[in-house]
Amino acid sequence: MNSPDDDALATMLAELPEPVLDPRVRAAVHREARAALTEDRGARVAHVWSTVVLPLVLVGCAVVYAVDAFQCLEHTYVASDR
Amino acid sequence: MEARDAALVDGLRRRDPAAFDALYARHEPAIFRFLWRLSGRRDVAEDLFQETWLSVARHAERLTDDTDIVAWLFTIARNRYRSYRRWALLDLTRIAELGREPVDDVRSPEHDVDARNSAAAVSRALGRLSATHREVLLLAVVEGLAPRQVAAVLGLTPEAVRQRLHRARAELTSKLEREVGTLRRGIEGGTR
Repeated sequence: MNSPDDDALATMLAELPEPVLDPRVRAAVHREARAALTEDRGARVAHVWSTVVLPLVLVGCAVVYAVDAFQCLEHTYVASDR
Repeated sequence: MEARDAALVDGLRRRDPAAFDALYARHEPAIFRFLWRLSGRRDVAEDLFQETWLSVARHAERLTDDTDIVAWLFTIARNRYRSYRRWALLDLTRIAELGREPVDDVRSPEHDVDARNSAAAVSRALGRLSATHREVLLLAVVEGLAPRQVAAVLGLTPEAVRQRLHRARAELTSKLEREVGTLRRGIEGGTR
């Protein structure tokens, strides 16, 4: 529990004049930070695309190509054997 | 954690601009007030304020479900201030500024007759505290953070916070008494 002296100190501190931020600074910081937030989101999407999605697409294409090529060869040689 | 804070954390993690807007609107005055009283200088407080919010925007995805958003914000602001002080110590041109207590108004004994109740005297006494004592008083008393939040911001246990707060109150009382004595001597000298 606070002593009366502590309460008096708290009251004095609470009565300190409120520092006011220049509205132009407030708006500029908000704008800049918001831009950083959304830019980072764009960068993250790009990162996910280049490190996960694009390699998966390329690997998928390679697998489809290989399977198709194998089937094509199989059709060619197995059919000619008959 | 409050439900609205949980929603904010969730939105910030998804980098939702609306969540950032809400966070900024709610906590911007307290962060600026904290930085201004901690540094004692408007220009420094404005720079640190900008760095704090940029850091919030860049590290929003690091938030977890149990993050206390208020403690997190004040931790970033405090770290920015500590970083500023460290760099300032390396900058010879700023050493004189650091040695000077943060006093943001001109002493005028005529208007500080009852200095104990004067905001200017309290402000000067607060500025003469050590940085560790000033920050704990600002967080716990001025900003009204809960002991666990103050402990999280300062990286201390709640018991250590309680002890530091006790010492900070004692130091502020002592500085305030000295401030009152100086002012009274100034007023008496001026009236002779």
